[in-house]
Amino acid sequence: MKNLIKETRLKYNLTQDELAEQLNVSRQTIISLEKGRYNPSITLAFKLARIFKCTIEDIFLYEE
Amino acid sequence: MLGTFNNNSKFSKPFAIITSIITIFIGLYICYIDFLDNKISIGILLFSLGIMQFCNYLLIPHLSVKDERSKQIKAKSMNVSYFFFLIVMFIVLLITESPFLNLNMNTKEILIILISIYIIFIHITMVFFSKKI
Repeated sequence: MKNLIKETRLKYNLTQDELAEQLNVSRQTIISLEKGRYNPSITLAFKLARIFKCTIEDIFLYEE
Repeated sequence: MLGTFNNNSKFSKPFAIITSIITIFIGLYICYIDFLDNKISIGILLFSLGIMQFCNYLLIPHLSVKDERSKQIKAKSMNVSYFFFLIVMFIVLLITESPFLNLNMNTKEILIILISIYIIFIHITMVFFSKKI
């Protein structure tokens, strides 16, 4: 699953550390998410969407 | 304490690497003495604890915060290690019962080897999954 976390994070001028702190996860988790190696749980996806003030579909692009 | 993760990684990482180096060297030294005496003692266990601390050094950035990814890393590692350990136990059973191999090992020595293999394997798989996930 592709995502636009890095692009959205940079749009909000957030560092990986700041985003990790807001989500209560490690910076390594943010790195993995941005690289697309790790697909988050629905809870983490909702938290991301709330921080970026958008919907989950705006951040995560589902491909069959 | 060995094998625990602290959120204060500024202290934890140097502690892990220093204890890792010390324990590996002491373990190797005891293993060398045991090798000369043709016996197996606590040296292998110390060596495996040193490897465990080195793996902890690599794992601290990934596991210091107990988030969902760290739980997934631990769960996958446990799952793989479970099957690995079953295979290892089966192989050890075959070796000890084999009429072709004349192994003079007592229960304590076999347990030391099994525990050492398990400690090393579980932590190496955690490092592997932390790089993969």
